[in-house]
Amino acid sequence: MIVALWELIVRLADIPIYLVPKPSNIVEAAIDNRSELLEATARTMVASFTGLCLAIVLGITGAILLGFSRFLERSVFPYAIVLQTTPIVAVAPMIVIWVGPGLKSIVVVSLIISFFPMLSNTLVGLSAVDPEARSLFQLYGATRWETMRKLRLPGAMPYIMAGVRISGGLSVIGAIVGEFVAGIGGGRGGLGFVVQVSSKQLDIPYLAAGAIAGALTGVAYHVVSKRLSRRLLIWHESALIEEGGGKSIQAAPAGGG
Amino acid sequence: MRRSTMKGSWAVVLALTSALGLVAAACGDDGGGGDDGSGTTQVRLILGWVASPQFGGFFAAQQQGYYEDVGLEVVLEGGEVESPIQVVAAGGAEFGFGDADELLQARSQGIPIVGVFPTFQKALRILAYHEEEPVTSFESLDGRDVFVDLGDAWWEFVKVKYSLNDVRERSYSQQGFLRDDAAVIQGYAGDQLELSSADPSAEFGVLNVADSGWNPYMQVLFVSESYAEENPDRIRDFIDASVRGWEYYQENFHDVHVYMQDQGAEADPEVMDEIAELYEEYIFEGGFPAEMDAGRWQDTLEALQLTGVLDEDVDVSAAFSNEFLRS
Repeated sequence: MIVALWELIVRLADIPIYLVPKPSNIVEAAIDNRSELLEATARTMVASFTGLCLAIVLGITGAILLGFSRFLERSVFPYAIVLQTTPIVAVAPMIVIWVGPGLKSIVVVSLIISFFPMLSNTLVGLSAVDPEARSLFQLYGATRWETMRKLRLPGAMPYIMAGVRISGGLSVIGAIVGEFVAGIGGGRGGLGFVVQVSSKQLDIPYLAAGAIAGALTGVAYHVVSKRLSRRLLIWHESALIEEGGGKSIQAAPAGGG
Repeated sequence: MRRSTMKGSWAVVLALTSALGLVAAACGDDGGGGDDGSGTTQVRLILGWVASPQFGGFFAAQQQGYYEDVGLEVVLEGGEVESPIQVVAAGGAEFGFGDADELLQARSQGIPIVGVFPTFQKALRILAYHEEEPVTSFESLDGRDVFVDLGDAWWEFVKVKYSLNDVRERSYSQQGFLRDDAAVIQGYAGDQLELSSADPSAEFGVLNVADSGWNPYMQVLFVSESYAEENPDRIRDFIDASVRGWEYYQENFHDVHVYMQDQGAEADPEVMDEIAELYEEYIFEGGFPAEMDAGRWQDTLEALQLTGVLDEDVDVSAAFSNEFLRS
């Protein structure tokens, strides 16, 4: 409906195509360039997905490590904040110098931009533990690792999934920004290239098409992570119900499970 | 689905407000800059780059008061601007610079601008390389790292003409080029001097892009069609004063360079002096100011068509005008 309104307003007000392209112009541009657009989207997807997966693994791992020690958390977390607040466009050129141009740098930029939400959200989740359950674990002599694995980490799942949803969109932004600086073109560029070239050539409809393709990739990650989180949380809920229904209170110290 | 009605209404409000804002911006073109009441009219010229010798004559005209003599208060807006054409077309400035190919591309997209004065008659684009790994021909660019402004038509032309299917095009970065002996970088005649001052130990060579057949008028002053219709005398006065500025600059460029330092110039006056001397042949040889030749615009159009970058065909005679030049 919004799309229809957009089309109507631009047509009625006769706004020039180089200021505001109509949805029909954008679709036309996308179709005219479909093979290039699809290839570019695929490349950006590969880079952003890799960056996202690395961010998830490193973010969760980092949070677990920090979760073991308040002291460690207090000393290391500020650096993570610095990493998040440093403008990525300022850091990206340095990354190209250190890592070299091409996919490696693009993945690193995507990783940096998606890392903090994963670390931060996981950390919050690990701390949001029911104090009674925590005492119970202590009572049964569970080690810190057992507490982490069986209580804190499962409890943090909703927070982790929220982090994934945020990082998903950010990883696409990171990949595109990375491509601005580190990309190698010559017909092998990603959406960052599409945006730069169409902007230079004043092809505003195609520029919009490229931007929308990037947005849709982010949306795709969001939808997939939402489905995944539903499945994981259902499993998580049922596992808790099974264990928490009186059975695990005997099972835990012996079980290790 | 139930919540979509609420979201829908806000979206409508947002869409309407932004559309109205855009309509206002699009209509808000023109009549030129403001009259500041003291009898001078303010006009803005988007340079598209920082103050440098390529704009020398315009700064000279400003410094020497030639613009004031014709009742104009000229604001020379320096700094890196992605698209001066869009800025002028949207009414953000009265004058801008673009190469002939950029103007033709804009017109093919329906942007109503017209070129009125060519700064450079001879195309100045070069490709610079390290002497350790010289570039002997355009064909030999294949497989090498080339730092360019992505999407530039001249580069698309060179890639198509010489079938550079394995060239590694990289986003423009002087640092990237300086660190890699095998790399190549785009530039303008005179850039090799700047590169040498950035890295005095290295030797650089240049390839003239014009040798590939790409030879448009460069840094053409342009205005929107509506501005040209409504203010022809103001445009003539501006060009007149600018021509006087260039003539002054030709003899006194060092002084102008010192003035330009306060206007945001990045290079040292001494480096700018060397570049200005180089520019002499690109600007003044062949008569100054030069009347633009339709045949040359047509050649540029055909080169553009080779790149596949043009959407619609363009009537070259509508893209430029010599009527604002006083001979």
